[in-house]
Amino acid sequence: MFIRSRHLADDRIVDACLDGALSASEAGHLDACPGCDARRAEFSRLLMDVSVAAAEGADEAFPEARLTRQRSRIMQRLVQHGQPGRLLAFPGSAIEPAPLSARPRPATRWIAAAAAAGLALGLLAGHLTDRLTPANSRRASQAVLRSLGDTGSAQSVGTVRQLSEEEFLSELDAAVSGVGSDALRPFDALTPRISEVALRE
Amino acid sequence: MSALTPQTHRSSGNAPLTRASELAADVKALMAAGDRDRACARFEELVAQQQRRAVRIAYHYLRDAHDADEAVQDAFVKVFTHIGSYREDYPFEVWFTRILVNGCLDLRKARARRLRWSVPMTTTPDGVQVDPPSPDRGPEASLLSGARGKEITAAVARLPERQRTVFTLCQIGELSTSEVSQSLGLSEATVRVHLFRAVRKLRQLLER
Repeated sequence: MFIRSRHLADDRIVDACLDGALSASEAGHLDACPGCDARRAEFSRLLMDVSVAAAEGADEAFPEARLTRQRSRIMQRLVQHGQPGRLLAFPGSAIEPAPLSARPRPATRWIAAAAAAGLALGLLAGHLTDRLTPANSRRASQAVLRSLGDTGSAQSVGTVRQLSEEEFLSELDAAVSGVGSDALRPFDALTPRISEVALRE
Repeated sequence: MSALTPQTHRSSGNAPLTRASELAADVKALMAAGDRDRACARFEELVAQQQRRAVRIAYHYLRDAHDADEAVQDAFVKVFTHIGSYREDYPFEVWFTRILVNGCLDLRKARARRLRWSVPMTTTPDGVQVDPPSPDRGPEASLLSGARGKEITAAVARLPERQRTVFTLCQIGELSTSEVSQSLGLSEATVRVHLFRAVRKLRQLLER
């Protein structure tokens, strides 16, 4: 490989630089030939430079203090190795929690009782609301009719239904701005304005 | 027994073993005898003796101080936990280097997976893939003071994987070609070929 006439090939010169593994004739040639000797010097310098650069980089990144820390960390890991894992307390609680079975639990009972009472109250309120809602609706309808009284007291709900939607809403607006408007405020809040609808379209 | 008479350790070739091999054999014997405390003390000596070399290999291999730190720690912990499988007639440095290099390879794979979507891998014109840069900072740029040092480290980084491994173990790990062949499970002739190719490529890169 890469033989130059009688000169030593590069791989032999590299071998010579690494561990001096040369035959007697090769070693003799190397000593006598200035060209081969120069190549050996070049390879040696290259290898030396690499070693120095690598050592410098690593030694700079790992000064003695860091090696000491690393060593103590290794020993710490060895000590911990094979030991059961520790149970850490929840952050912020300085006192170690007692086992669940040994703890008194009055608070748990109170919480359960409060939850049951809340549920019962909720059901009761639901029933009451259900009963009261139709009456409210009736009252609201009567209020609307009262407010429309100036157009004719005998007008029925059926008459109102015959009105177009736009007319009905206009009348509602007029009623809101008139007497007894308090009862209609919830309707007002729920009903979109004509101008808003027109804008959307 | 061997813990008491470390001087009697011999390699299979009847050559006296290194101090590291003696210490490792002691640790193994002490662990087998159930004397964990003394084994730990002995192991600390072993760590202190091998640490610098290990850090240089890992750092040059991974080019990241945090990863190198982690790889070296893991390798030593693995050695201790598997000391029962250490063969006393085998050079400790070779066994340890194999564990360390495997750990470095695993870390590099993990790092490549992490960076796959964030940092594009670059490829040199001759198809050699260059490792992604370190996530914290470029060690070459920040740790080497001289321009020549930077050049050399960049050139070594551009070597193909196998050549770089062989070169790193020989030149930075200070292992012989025979020890490198044992560490990597390659024939000595193959190690020499990789080594020669690495040197030749380095010379080309540095002459540009």
